[in-house]
Amino acid sequence: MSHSADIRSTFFEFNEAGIFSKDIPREFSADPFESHEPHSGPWADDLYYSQGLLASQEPARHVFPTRANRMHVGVEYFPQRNLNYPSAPANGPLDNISAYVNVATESIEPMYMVSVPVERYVRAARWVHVRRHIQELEELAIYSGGTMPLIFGYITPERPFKSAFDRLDEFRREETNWDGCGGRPASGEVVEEVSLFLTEAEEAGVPEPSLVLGNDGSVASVWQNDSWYITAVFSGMEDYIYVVSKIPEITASGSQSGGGIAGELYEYLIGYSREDGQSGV
Amino acid sequence: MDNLVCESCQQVFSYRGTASNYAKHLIDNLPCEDKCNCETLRTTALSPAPVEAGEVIVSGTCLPQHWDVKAQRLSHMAVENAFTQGLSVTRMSYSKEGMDAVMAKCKQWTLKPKKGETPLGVAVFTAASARSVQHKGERAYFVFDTAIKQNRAHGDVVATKFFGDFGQLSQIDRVSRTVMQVLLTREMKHIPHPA
Repeated sequence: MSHSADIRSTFFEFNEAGIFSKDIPREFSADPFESHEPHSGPWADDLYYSQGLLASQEPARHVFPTRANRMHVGVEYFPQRNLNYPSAPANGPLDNISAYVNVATESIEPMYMVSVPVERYVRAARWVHVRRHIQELEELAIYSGGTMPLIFGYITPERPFKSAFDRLDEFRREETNWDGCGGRPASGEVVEEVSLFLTEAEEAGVPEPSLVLGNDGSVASVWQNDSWYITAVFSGMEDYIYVVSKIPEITASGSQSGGGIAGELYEYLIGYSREDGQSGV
Repeated sequence: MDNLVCESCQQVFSYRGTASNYAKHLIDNLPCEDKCNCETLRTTALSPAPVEAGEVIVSGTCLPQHWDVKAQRLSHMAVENAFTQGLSVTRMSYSKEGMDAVMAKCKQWTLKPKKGETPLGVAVFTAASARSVQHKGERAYFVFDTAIKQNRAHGDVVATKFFGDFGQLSQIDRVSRTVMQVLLTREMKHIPHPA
């Protein structure tokens, strides 16, 4: 099967437009290793087939980010890279990187066949594995505020919502009767719900909320200023409720199942952010 | 004695059950068959007078856990007790030693559950503002004169519905309760402890 047209187009992308500036279609933004198979179809079959043939000749140059080899990448091979951007545990910038590398790896094989140097792209693909390891470790450490210890010689920067995560951890460890009225600490379910919400809110670029604790261990995220009072309250019920007040009126209220940001709430948080003069949205 | 609720209502107010059920107990059992208007009457013989609309009342429950650190304001959690054991307030008209004493007592109380926490001050509002809060066209809070031996200036702000643990309420009731809490919080002015 000939891929001459593909080779020409990818060659142009690498050398003229630059593969990493390519606008990735939305369908590639999901996790390419888990839930989607962007390589599926005849083109992918050909690609893997040729990979298998060539791997025996020069294995170091043909490590694809496939399920089979994703956990077996040597640390010493990872390129030095500036980690000067916020960590994002849940399918955020990482998947954008994955998507870019996806496109790159699909292009690597035909480029190899026409003797185009591919090492930098293979290395970029390997970097995805490193980020995935970090992501997994961050998810384990999510309740402790999210700063990662030394990993692979790097320290991840503080996440934008560090204060909120720290506060949540304080609420988790709060002693019973903290308010003198039988107050309970935040339960594991509440902590999980709030963590998911904060992670998504952090990634969405909304302002960091303050967290407050209720007597029964419910936790509320609060954004307020002279004009607005916005809150989302989590009680371990697999949903949360939210109330938006553009003072003096109650502007909106509702509920949301799961940990994501309700669309309506997100819209109001954007408005809040703009009026409050906070950046990030 | 004048302006005192009936004996039946006095018994309701002298509740000795689980503290967190106090608000629900009051609303479930009031008014009495004779329809005492308990807000306009003294509820115990210790009471100096019913709570007037214009009275300034002070809540000392400004706990760090209720505090919006970023905005440096109270959050709606500060009034949550109105749905459980009643939001205790001090009636400034009858507080012999004034705001300084209320502040000092609040400071002492705030530090009681957890040593080393920062006391945050008090929340000041009026009985009328609490009574004016409405939810879906109905009163959201009552303000009762609930004098006790140790503090004759004691009162309680009590919600009219959505009692108990927040997490045990239905989804729609959680929304409604939060709306009520937000509305009452907005009526409050926070006064920090002097530096």
